[in-house]
Amino acid sequence: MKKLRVFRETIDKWLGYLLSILMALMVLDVVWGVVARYLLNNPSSFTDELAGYLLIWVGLLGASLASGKGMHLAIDLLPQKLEGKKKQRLEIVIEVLIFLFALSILVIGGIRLVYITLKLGQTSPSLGLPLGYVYLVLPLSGIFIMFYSAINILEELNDELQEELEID
Amino acid sequence: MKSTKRFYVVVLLVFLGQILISCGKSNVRVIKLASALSPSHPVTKAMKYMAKQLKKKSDGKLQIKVYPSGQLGDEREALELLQIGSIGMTKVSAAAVESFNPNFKAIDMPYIFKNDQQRFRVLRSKIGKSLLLGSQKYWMRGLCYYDAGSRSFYSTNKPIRKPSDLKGMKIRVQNSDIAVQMVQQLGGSATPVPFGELYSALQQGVVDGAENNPPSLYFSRQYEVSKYYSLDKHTSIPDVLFISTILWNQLNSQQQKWIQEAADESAKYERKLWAQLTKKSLKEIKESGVKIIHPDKSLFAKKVQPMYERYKTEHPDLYKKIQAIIQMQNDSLSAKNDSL
Repeated sequence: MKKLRVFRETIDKWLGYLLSILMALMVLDVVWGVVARYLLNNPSSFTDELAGYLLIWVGLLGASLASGKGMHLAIDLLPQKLEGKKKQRLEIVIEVLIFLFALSILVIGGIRLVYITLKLGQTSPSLGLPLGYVYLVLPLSGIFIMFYSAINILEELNDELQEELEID
Repeated sequence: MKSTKRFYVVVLLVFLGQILISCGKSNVRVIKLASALSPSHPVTKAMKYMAKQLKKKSDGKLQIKVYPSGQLGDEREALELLQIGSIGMTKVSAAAVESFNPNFKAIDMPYIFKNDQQRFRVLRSKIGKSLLLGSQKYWMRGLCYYDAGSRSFYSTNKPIRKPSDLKGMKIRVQNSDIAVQMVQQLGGSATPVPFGELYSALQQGVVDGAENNPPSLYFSRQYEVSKYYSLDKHTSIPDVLFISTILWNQLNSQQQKWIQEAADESAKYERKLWAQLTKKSLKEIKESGVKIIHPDKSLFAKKVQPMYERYKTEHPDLYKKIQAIIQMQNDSLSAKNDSL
């Protein structure tokens, strides 16, 4: 269990670094777009497109980090009403649902989308970038979300087990 | 408590019933058609006409539901949804197809068509058909072309009479490789600005001009902030109607024939509507005080020639297509001269 926690913290750290880099790139890109258009009077055609793609990456990878830390938006009407064992059970059900969503929609659906887009060779209009690479973030973030929810489930189960041992 | 429970049961039953009813109707197929244009646009009207024709032909078994105004996404998104089969049909500008099927760049080239008649002839010919059907490689099948007229420059401060007038002017273009190159060849600086932001961009001087066909200039009311409209007619980029190959292959040959016929009929219908609208738009634009200029087109055509050479080495496939289009028009012109 301890090893798992360390592993999770490493992933947290590196994902955080990656997100900071992407965010910094996005800021630079948008600033360059403004400078080129209003100061240099020679607007560049790629900044808008790149900013859009970076936003997709930051959004989805950020969502996986947030869901791992339990920071994502949630309607917690039900969890607040429950206590003890019932609450833990509910947490597990929620994590399983998140896991299944990430697996079916993000990973399987995402891989299908990436495969089709790469196969049909759609490119972005100004950068000429194959759009399949942009969509690669879907399965990637799906894998992260699955990883986090799997760990969360294991931890919940572990807690439950320990509590039972204490009671005994 | 009991009554709420009963209420939920009733809601559930009604819901299940709905599902059952919709399953029972499965011998009627409704095709979703996505379009970015407004409901009053002639192309949308033509597609509604196609839906009517198809319903008549198939006795109501095949129907088309048109979703206008970009409800299902912009043109690029619609094409993507079409490829994976989430929507059945979509109408997009040929400029948007460039990043899916690069051969479409051939008909987006400036001054590729000698005149309107030649354009209709080329698009109707084997070359036009091969572009439509060649897209099947990319999981989309072209059904027909809709006319979108010719695009010309309009500007806020300076009239454009010859290419050198464009020097130092910032011209808004569509987000397309060909359009950017063309403006640069002519000496202007190309600025991709989203169409919806163009009105204020012209007003505030972010760009000095833009280019479009008369109906778009009229409908977007950008003529209110423009002073000159130079009818140099540099590009004639048509709209294209696509059907998903996933859907197409599910249909039997009779159904395929119905759809193709209905599409062809709607294209004919649209061309009439478009011609009327172009006349009306030009009249309205002129009456609002915009000066209409008729520049010498050959000066502009000469300037963009290097673009044709570029594809010789870069994209031989496309170059061959472009040459075939030029050849075809030359042949018909020389045949006419012989008969005289």
